[in-house]
Amino acid sequence: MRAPFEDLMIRYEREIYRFATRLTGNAADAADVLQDTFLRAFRAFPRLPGDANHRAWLYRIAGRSASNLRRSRRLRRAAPLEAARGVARQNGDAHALLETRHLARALAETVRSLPARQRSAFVQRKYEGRSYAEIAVVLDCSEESARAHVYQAMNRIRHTLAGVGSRRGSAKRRTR
Amino acid sequence: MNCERFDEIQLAALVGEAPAAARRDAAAHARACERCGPAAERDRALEQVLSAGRHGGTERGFSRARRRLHKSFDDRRASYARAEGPFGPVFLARTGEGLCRVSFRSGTEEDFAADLVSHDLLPEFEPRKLATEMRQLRDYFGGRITAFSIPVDLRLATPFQQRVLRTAARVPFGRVASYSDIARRIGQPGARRAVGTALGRNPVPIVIPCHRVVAGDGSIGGYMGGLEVKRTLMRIEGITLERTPRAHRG
Repeated sequence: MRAPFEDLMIRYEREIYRFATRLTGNAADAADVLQDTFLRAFRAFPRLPGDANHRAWLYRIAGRSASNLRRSRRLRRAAPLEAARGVARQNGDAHALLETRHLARALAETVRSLPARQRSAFVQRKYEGRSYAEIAVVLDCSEESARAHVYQAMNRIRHTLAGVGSRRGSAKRRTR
Repeated sequence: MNCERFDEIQLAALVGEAPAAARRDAAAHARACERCGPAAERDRALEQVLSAGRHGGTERGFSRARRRLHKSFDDRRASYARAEGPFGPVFLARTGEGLCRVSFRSGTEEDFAADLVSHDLLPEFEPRKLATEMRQLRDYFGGRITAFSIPVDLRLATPFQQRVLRTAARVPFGRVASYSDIARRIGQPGARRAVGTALGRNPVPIVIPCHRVVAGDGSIGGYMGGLEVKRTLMRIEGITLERTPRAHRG
């Protein structure tokens, strides 16, 4: 009973951690999601059909776990600083860092507030480069729905962030 | 090109699905349109931040999370073994803390392992890790010892059940206490029925001797493993009850 599940855990823990980080926007929540995912998976493992797609199954659990976490308590702040620094370095100035940090945080918050399926589809498509066919398997929906989830998510992000000062000089403007 | 079409193309571009020609048309529109010019600029900034958002955590964050994950699974490991008792097979399981489950209800090894899984434990058949427990159990059945000296892990019991079980564990070999005695000793004299229920859910019967707890009127009381097992254990300990045993749960 132990060996197959632990093999599964060792095989997918890194990938699930990355997915969890992208879903939650910070390391501490990602660690919670990782643990919760494998505990839930462990409980359900004995009932899992032998030919199940383990990767898709774990992604599905991780997506649900991330949205349960969001419901169950206030999340820690998103920590997209590393990301912001990377972008600002390309732009090479301090103003840009401030603006980009602002925008990166707003992006992370918006991603986290997306409905569970949109969020999962968006992260898989945009951050992990998965095909719609793969996303459809995870979400147990059609490819068209998977694509629609990604578009709806992106549309929401684009609209939300339109209200966030992203142009030079507007970074200090209050957004809400 | 109108503004609506511009938005469609920009959205598709952000998703990564706008053809180059469409993007060029949208850029041309943005240059000429008061509304869409700033929007195009915002989309460029968003594009940059999005590509940075791929960031899937640091190696250090991952190893910390991984350590925590593995520790939580290590804490759930349970070795189990099968022993022979006077009334058939007895299954035993222990965690790193101590003996956590004893079962002699009819059932297979798979049933026993599945029961451990249902309690969030990771079972593994490792009889060598239960050598002490098995030896003491054999010695007890053979009348060679009158007390167990093995650590017990009561994680499968609720806090109330744990109090009841710890109290029941103090009833000595060959003696009995009533459900009311135990209820009194835990400071809840009215909880006689709850005590009976807690004993009925004893995860480590025999080792915690719930079989030494009987009804107040001297009748045998109940036993989760069946009264025949309770009588056998009492016979091993030389316990005789004043009254004719009858089946009811105390």
